[in-house]
Amino acid sequence: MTAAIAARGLSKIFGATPAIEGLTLEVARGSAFALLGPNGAGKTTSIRLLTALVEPTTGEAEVCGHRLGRDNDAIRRSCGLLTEVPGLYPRLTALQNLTFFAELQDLSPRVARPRIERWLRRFELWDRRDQPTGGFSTGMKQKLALARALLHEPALLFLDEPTSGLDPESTRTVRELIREQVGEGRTVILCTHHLDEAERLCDRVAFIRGRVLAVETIAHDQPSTRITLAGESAPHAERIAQLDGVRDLHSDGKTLTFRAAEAQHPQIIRALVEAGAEIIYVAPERGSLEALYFKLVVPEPRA
Amino acid sequence: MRRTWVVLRREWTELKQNRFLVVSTLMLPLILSGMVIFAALSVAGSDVHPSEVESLLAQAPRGYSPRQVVMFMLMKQLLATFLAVPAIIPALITSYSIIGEKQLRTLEPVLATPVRVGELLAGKCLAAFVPALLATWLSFGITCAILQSRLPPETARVAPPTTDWLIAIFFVAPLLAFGSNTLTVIVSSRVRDPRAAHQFASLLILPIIGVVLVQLARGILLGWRFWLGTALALAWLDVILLRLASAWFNREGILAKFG
Repeated sequence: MTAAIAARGLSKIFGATPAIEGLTLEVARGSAFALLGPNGAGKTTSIRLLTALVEPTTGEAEVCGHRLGRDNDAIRRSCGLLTEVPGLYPRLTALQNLTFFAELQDLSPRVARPRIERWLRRFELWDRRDQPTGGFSTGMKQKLALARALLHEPALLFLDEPTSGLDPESTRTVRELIREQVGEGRTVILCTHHLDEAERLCDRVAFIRGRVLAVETIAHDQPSTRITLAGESAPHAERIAQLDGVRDLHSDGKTLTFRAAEAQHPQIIRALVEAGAEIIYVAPERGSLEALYFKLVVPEPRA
Repeated sequence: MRRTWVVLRREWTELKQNRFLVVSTLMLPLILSGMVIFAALSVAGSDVHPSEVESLLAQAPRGYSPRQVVMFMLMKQLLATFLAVPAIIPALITSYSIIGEKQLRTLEPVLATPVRVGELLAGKCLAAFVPALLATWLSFGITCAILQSRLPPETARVAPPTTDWLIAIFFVAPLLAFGSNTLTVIVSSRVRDPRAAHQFASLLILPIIGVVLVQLARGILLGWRFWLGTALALAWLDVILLRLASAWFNREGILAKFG
């Protein structure tokens, strides 16, 4: 089975300004992949390249098995796009907005109508289907834009800042939907500034700043754990590193961080106690992606 | 073609919701039709002294009465003015549509669908071109019906529909509407401020005022040959504008300029 995305050295240069250079990615079908980077890093341009909205200056790619440049129409049929701004027609009703896009996707009314109703009901917008979207809240607009991206049941879904500006309730709805889509076998490409969102939802992440700086796998089965000791952690690091199943061990002052299956934790704690370490607390490590982001993406301030 | 129709329907559905634009669009043909009807009826009911039109008589067809000459002259001036309808309505609608898309950033989701750029532009252009032409032809038809039913036979002979009016309305008007629309697409895509786009639309009336002024200042009368020549010139200009627009627009170009 081919990858959902296989990009090799894609670049886009506007005039003399490179927006993204050497984009090389491989994203497996049915996975969730995040593009992380600051504003202007080239995330949106990357999405526009992969959805055949802009032509690459160099490089090549296959999206859902279709060659970029040659099979652009097929790519557009295979992809759903949630743009950074919902981009709805404010004078048209929710129903009219979705019907317009269903028709552009060549969905017959017999196919489109039940799908539109299903998504509007799912997002609790059915009762407001005949109201112009100009009066909708940010969350409602975002949900409607998501419904628009999903109407033609694309194999690959690009979501540019899907929870930006949403309240916690709408954020949860959107995140549940992303999990559900991946569970149904769709591939989701997520552009986000919320690192915890990427960590929760995605299998892999790419750090971008004008080019791909690194691609990391998020180990959901082995989350990072932090143990804080009363004394220095360094003397105990070597002993813990030798235990089975422990990886990515880091010692920093009084803390040890590592990845290991939860079943391994008692053994690790026992080993530390036997070695005379005084444990203050053990906690799941949050923000490991954040640490990596700042290490890879944010340049060191000049001295 | 089916997607062109989809885009066109969406444009009209949204247009119908914008009362200000609908009213301002309808006002123009109403005002201009009213002007023609009012002027024609006024001339028909007024006394015209032969000395007032002595110089004009020389240009009017032989055998015309003084009243017929004045009517003849007046209709020549108003014909050019009437062409403001096909020149301005498409420019108003299109500039609103494109600037609206720019401000709301609605084009990116549209361009992410399999719609072809030609289908998108054709839908947009037809959405403005068709109402402009319908407004022109409908208001012309109503104007002719009123004039021919209300004017005495003497002046009705000289009032529309005459050969020059028919050429202008059925040949010049469609070409003018098409050219105005294409030019507005090109210009509107380059500006971000809707006021600038509308100001440009209002500038399209200048060549029409120019024709009126030339007739008045030079004391010449532009007949059907002039309007036929204008139609040919416009056809040539339209081809150039269309080629320019076709060469210029692609998905990326639209996204960069409109998005």
